[in-house]
Amino acid sequence: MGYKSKFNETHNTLVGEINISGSLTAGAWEEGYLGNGEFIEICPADFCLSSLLVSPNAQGGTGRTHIELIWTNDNGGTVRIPALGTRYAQKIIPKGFTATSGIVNATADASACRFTSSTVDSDDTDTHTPGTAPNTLVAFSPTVVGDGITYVTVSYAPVSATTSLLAGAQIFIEKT
Amino acid sequence: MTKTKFHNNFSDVYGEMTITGSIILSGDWQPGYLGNNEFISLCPSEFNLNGQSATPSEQTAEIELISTPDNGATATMPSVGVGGSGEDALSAIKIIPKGFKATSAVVHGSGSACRWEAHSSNLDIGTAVAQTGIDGSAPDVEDTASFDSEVVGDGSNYIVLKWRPRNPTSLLFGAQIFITPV
Repeated sequence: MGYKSKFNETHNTLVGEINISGSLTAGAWEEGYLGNGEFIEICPADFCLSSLLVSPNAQGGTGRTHIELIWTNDNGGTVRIPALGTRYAQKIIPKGFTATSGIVNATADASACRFTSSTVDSDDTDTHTPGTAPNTLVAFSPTVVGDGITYVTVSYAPVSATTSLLAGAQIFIEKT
Repeated sequence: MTKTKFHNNFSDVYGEMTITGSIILSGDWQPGYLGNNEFISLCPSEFNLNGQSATPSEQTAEIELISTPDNGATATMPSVGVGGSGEDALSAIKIIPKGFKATSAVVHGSGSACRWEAHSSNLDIGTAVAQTGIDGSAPDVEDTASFDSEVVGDGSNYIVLKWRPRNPTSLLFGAQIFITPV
């Protein structure tokens, strides 16, 4: 009778498919988002979706009249929204995880931040937080369960085109 | 002596480990893309690569970007139909996870006569290969299409999904690239 082990050849090699009833952790890598089981990190450059349809000539300058983009003057440490208007970042919630809260890290001013959700196959939107100030951790109500197609949208509406600096955001997750 | 690395308890395995087959977890999270071994989901905001190189007014009136009318549930391409050079299309790019292959995809949205295309490429090369019908043969939005060839994830192979709206009110909901373990 053979020994009940899949370490058939060496201590380091398991032969064949492995079923694990619990979680998988490998060094610092965990199940979750890019090896992170605690939160989804959102870089400032992820805020690439604009609410503006057409904006006034608010970005005048030498050689240009309109740029509806985000821009950085500190090598990406922060971004500014020259045309104002709300900017959005979106993140799929990993399967097996639930998004429970979030925070937008930005200049402490009257800019408004909000978290909503939708799915990639519909135009429905659910709101999970009221409008909050930057740097405020806000709990999601209801929480957002990761089913593979559901994503959270983070919105940031700056009050200033020049002094409102967006540094990034976080969506906190827990195992479902 | 027993060949095992469970030195202290039944839960912790010490040192490097190679598994010749797949890892299957009992929970919802699985190896693949963000815990999903069936498909890669793309949010509307990921379609941020513009097919237009210039419009006549050079953005003095039109926005060349994607916009959302509903807090991110959908995206639109406001500059569709304004002319200029390039193509009325927005594209998203996704690396195929290693150990998986991409076999098909679908782009979700609404609006009359909107189409989508899939192409594959690699970080090391400057050309793309069509994986679905293109131009007039491209699949309609909401139709799933199989790729002409399976795109195996080697760490640098990626899929380009191109959404082709017909007018500025066409809506993009998102997309899925279906994957399966190699």
